[in-house]
Amino acid sequence: MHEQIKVSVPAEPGFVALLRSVVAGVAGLRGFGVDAIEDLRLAIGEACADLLEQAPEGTVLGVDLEVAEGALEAVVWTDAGAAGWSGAEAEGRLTWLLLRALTDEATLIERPEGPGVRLVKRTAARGAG
Amino acid sequence: MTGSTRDPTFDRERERELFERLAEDPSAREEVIELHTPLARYLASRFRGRGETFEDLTQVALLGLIKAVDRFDPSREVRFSTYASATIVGEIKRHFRDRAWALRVPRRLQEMGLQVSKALGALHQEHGRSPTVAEIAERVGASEEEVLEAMDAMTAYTAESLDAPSGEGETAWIDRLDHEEPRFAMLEEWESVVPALRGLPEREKAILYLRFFRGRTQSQIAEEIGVSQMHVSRILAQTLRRLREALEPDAEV
Repeated sequence: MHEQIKVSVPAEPGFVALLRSVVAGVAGLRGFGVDAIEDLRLAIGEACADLLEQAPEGTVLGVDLEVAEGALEAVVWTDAGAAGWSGAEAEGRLTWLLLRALTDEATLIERPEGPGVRLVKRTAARGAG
Repeated sequence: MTGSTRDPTFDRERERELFERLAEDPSAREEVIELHTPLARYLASRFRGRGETFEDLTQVALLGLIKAVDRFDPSREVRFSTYASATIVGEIKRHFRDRAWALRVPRRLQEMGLQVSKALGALHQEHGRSPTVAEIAERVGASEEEVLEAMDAMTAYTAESLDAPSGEGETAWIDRLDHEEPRFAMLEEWESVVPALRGLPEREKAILYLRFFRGRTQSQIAEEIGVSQMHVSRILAQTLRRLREALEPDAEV
């Protein structure tokens, strides 16, 4: 099983709940436990909040999901452009502490179109972070 | 108060006369409504600035006025304007109540949410792990979609009681936490966050601590404090939002 689900919305705070719901829904339908679903929900919210700070009005915020056996990968991205974005600074912030605690992998990705956050959550429930 | 009267005695006479003709004469009804429209508008204006347009409020007030006309008993000693005022204000208040209610979680979702929450706790106990959506759906006899919808609603709508103290037993387990050995490396990373953490209520702080310092899952925390997992989820989301708001001013380097 290998699936791709993509959603993009205007880069506005009001749309974040929608993205969180989409990701939670996909995780739920693909057999993730409720704890993992709620962690993902929080993580997506955090990632979006972080990216929104860099994304001016009129830009796009998106989530690309890839579901494979036992793992869900979510790339949260903006098309706000790479200008003025500093990955190093972003890494040290609260968002990243939270993202790492909430997911199995959390990395910043820098693309010419704009910054993104890659999150991986696995179904195999790890006991404690 | 009707704004259209000069002579109260005449008004009283006229009022009685109009209400006597009311049943068979539609023009009498219209006249009563017309005479009291300024009263309705005045009362509507007193509820301005609460998120409803003056036009909508006036419509609601006029509806109240019409109800008052239909229900008024002229044989009683009370003046129509007094009776109408009470009816109109009642109608406006009810309107606000209904609207507030409509903004909340639909009843169907509340009920489903309650069932999901119960099933979640029970299944967690039985399996010793966080249940999947499919398992919950099977237990409550609903579709996965319905379960997801309920989970969404429960996470999105913040309960008013969130800030309320969670009752007895709370202090006991917060005390217990202090005796556990903190993870120093993690704490150091959180150094910059500490000032913002200080402003949080004790319970929020403790839940954050359990989830991120102790690596407990939401279900484990829920069990430990004796609330539902969805409640923990809501508290975490709200706490993170607060933290972010508190950190925002110096977040931009």
